[in-house]
Amino acid sequence: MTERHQPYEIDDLELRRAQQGDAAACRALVMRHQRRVLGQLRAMLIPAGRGGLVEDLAQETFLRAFRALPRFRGDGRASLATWLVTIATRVALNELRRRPPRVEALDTVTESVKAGETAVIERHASGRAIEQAIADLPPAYRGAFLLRELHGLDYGEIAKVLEIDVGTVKSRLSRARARLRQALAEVQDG
Amino acid sequence: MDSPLGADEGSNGALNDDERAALAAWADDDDPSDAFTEKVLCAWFAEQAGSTEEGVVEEPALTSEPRAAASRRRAVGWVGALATAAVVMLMVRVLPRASEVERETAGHACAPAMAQERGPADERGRHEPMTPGAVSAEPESTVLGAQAGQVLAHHCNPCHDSTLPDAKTGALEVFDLDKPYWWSTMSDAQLEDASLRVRELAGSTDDERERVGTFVQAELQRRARAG
Repeated sequence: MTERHQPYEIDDLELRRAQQGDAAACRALVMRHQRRVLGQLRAMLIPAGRGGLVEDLAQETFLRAFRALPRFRGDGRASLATWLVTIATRVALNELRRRPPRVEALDTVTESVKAGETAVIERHASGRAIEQAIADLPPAYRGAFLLRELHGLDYGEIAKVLEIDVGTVKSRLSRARARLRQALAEVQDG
Repeated sequence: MDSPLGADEGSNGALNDDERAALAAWADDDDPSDAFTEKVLCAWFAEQAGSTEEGVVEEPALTSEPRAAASRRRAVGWVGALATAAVVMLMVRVLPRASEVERETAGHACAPAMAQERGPADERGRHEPMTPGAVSAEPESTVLGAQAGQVLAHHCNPCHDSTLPDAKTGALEVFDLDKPYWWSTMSDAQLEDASLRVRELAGSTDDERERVGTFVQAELQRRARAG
């Protein structure tokens, strides 16, 4: 995911302030990471026909993060950004587990999402094909694919987020990539 | 756009730059609105106000930093918002309604507005207990459970929330705060133990101890009534 206008991480001092409940630091944390969190939830939920829950679950993600923030230790690759995306992914997967994705034609899904989301879909020529390809993936495959290709997590990190082994991560990624390539090829041919 | 397919078309290796760009363009959106930021912070500080006796934002610990003054000014600004939030929280407590007892909604200062945005709770299907029949539909117990869950989220996470990266399997088997009825997996003894632990926590406030204690007593009484 592109990171326009915002640094990848807040600095250590600001993180410590947020951990201590400082209002300005909490605000900075949300502002720096909301795009990433919203993007992940959007990519997880819209293809499943749950676009209306994106903001609610993004808020839930930040609330859970704030509650656990005092104990967060951002060592090495376990960055705050990765931590937040992990929470967002699990929140989305749990939501989809509780209420399985609706099976709808893409047009129906597209019409049901908010105007802003529709604009996102239609902004790009291949958007519909990508969405359809991602919508065809089971949620757990979708999660692995987005964590790898949008957020750059390595196989081990994805395995930890999804609580599966690395081999399963690889097979899920392979299948997801094949679906995406096929969808994009059809757009290209067509 | 240019061809989204790269040289490794047909393979299932990592996406190439064009493919990744196409994917990112689809998932990306305009910068989130300030309203979203405010909504999150409003909910968070209202929750904080609801779980502390003072109900005010703690003074930043690193006050020697140049930005401390600005932070204090912002904190003062939050006091007004928190006062409003406290009133809303009080109303939620005094007027428990089925549509307001969802765990996540009960924790938000903007709960009524959010509930309205989301539509009827039944439509979302999030009231289903983990163990059908094991949890009463009594609103009082459910509201108290949601409030106690907030307290536990502050003191027992990340171990007891399956959405957090450091959650512990053993802890989740006892209770998982991500579940709407997180207490339905707990035995009577485990409920009493949770209440005891919160009472003994150095960092817990009187209000937090009372919330958890009240819920545990109410739930134990409900179970006794239900046999």
